[in-house]
Amino acid sequence: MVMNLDKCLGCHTCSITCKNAWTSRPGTEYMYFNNVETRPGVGYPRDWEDQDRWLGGWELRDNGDLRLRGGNRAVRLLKLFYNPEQPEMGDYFEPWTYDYETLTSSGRTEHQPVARPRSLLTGERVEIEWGPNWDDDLAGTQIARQDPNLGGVRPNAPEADGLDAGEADPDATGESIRLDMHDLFMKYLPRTCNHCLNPACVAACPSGAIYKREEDGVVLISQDACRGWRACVPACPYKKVFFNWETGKSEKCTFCYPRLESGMPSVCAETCVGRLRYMGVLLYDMDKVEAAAKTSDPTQIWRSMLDVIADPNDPEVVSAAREGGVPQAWVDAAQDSPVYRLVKQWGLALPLHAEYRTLPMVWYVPPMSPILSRLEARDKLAEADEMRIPVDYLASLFAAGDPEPVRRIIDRLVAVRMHMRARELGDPEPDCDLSPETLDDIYRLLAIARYEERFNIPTAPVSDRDEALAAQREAGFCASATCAKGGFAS
Amino acid sequence: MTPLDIFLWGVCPYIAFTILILGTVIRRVFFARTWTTKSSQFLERRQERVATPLFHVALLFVFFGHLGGFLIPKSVTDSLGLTEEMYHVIAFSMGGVAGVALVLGLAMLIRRRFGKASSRRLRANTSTMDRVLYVVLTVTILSGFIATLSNANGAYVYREGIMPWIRGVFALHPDPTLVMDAPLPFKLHMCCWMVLFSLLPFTRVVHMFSGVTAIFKYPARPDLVYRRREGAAESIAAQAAAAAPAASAAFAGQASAARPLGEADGAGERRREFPRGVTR
Repeated sequence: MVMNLDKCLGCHTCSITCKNAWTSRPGTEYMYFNNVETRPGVGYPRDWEDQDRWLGGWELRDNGDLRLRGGNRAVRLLKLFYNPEQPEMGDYFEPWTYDYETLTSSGRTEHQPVARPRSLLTGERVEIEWGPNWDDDLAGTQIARQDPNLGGVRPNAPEADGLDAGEADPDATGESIRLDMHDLFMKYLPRTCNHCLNPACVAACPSGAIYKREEDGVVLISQDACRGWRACVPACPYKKVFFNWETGKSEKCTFCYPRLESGMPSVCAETCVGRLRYMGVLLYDMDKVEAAAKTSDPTQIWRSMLDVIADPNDPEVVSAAREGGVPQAWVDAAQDSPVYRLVKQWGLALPLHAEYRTLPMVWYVPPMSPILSRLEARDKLAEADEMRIPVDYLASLFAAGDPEPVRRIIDRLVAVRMHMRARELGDPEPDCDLSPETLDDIYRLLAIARYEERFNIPTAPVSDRDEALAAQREAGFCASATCAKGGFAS
Repeated sequence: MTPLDIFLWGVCPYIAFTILILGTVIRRVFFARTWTTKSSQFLERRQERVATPLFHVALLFVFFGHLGGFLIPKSVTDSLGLTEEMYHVIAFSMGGVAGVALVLGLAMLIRRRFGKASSRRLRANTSTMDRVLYVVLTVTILSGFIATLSNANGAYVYREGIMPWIRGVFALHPDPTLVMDAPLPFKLHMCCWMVLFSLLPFTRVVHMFSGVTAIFKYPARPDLVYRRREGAAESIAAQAAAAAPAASAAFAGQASAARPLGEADGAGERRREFPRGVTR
């Protein structure tokens, strides 16, 4: 999946449709398989990026071994009794509803009746102190300042304030980025399970209940095999595995696999109002995964990931894929994949926090942003470093702190706009390493692409109609008596 | 020997073991979706930090203490030159320490779940079966603890009564006469474990079996687990015309990121050279 952050308007439609589809059962009220957080901010759950606290993801040992940050297997087995890194409900929020009934059942009173909040967990009255998106749209800059990605970020174009770059960054703390009005910035970051190529949750599960599907890469938790050891929850550096306190089992984003198997995009992508999500097939070389995760320089991991993704038009790749049992329809889809174009062919997308070494497979096109108001208006379009969102900040999210790839992508996006301007107004073509034809294609896919262009999803191979119907019955929610309360079918 | 003695010490152990084994198998096979630790750390973390590890570790010590007592007959320790007094001092002191830790851990867990300081979130998540389990566990642990304390002088030589009896139970030769004269706390403790065993398949305690299997299976497993969609494997193999060897098992292909491919069971022969996975 690729998300074009430029077009995210923060409407939370993806979160809500996902919630209605998957997490509206008892025990899952606090879960958002898909959430949209305002950046800068602390995210959901609070401070999920603070891996010194959660010990999520992988670490590269001095001897070159790749190991979960949570420790070796013996240490992690000891944590079965009590896991010091596991988040608590308070780190997300305690779900609540309101006493709506008092609005209609209250008798005649002097004051208007009020619907007071009530916990969905205990049924008791609660004071709401934190909730999902408590800091939506920068509500409370004090919360935004706690964003770990602000550390070391320098404001864009500091020379406009009479400072040079060195001066603007004295202590490399969050204070150095100014949340003053004149260079305040904000953007939305929709997050879902990354269905990583090297998933830490899978490796951490003592029961072997979490697995990556070979055919389509979806990472799933078998609700029959999960034993509730909850090792996956801290292990996932994105905190996208959730513990259902009602069933005592972990749950996570399923990538809407029943829809995928029918050739439909996930609910979050389907309903995205900004149409910023793209889904398609990527062929990749499983044997290169380990080496990519072991890339010594964290800023180069995303480049190694590009190497893992194979060129679907290479005849050698095609024949190997066919030999490996990839159906022809999937190879065809891979050759016409919007995701492949954005990620590898045009190089417009980056993974979120690749330094966690899980090789996440949701890629983001970094957002452009308005030109800084304190810069003089010019006839020419802004460059990356003149935009409101500091390149350093985006680099901390998407490139392990290396501003170069972010700058290059934003400059390419600017080139697309300049190219369109050239086409309409006869201005000179931009100076860009991509051809005008390619810029046309990028414009088409990013700006006006239709449903079929944004999503190219082949159906899952099934041997016959009976099997498809059986899968339809069995996949998804659980209605049988063998399910725990609030459980769902795996 | 009254009929009650025969029932309690000759029949009940088998009823308990039958329910334990059958119940566990049935739950594992048909109700796997309910099989879980039912961990409540997500709801309450602060008190659990000490209580749960203390309880579990003490329980493991007590369990292995019991096991050692059952398995090592008196003749073995006698031949090692261990007198009854020495044995009793060792068993009493070690068992006593583990017992104190276990009772303390249990008390902390009870306080955490039912006490005044308990988290309201935790209370909301306590099921009826949890309450029953806490009662049975408490009576079992306390009766065992009291039996040990009340026998501090070693007046009752359980190694000549209970231990041969339990070995007899396993050898399908139960002899109620061996235990019918045991002191009351010991008898109560023995009734308790039978109740506990009968209850076990229907409670969260089944997670102990998973803990044992995890210890053996997890370290031997590759980091990454790959699975094929059930039923899809045949059709893919058919479409790919003589490509991958027929793979109909759910656990068809396994690969690993942190160790070389091919170590997993059967993965070697299914290893393919180039793009094998597909992602979206």
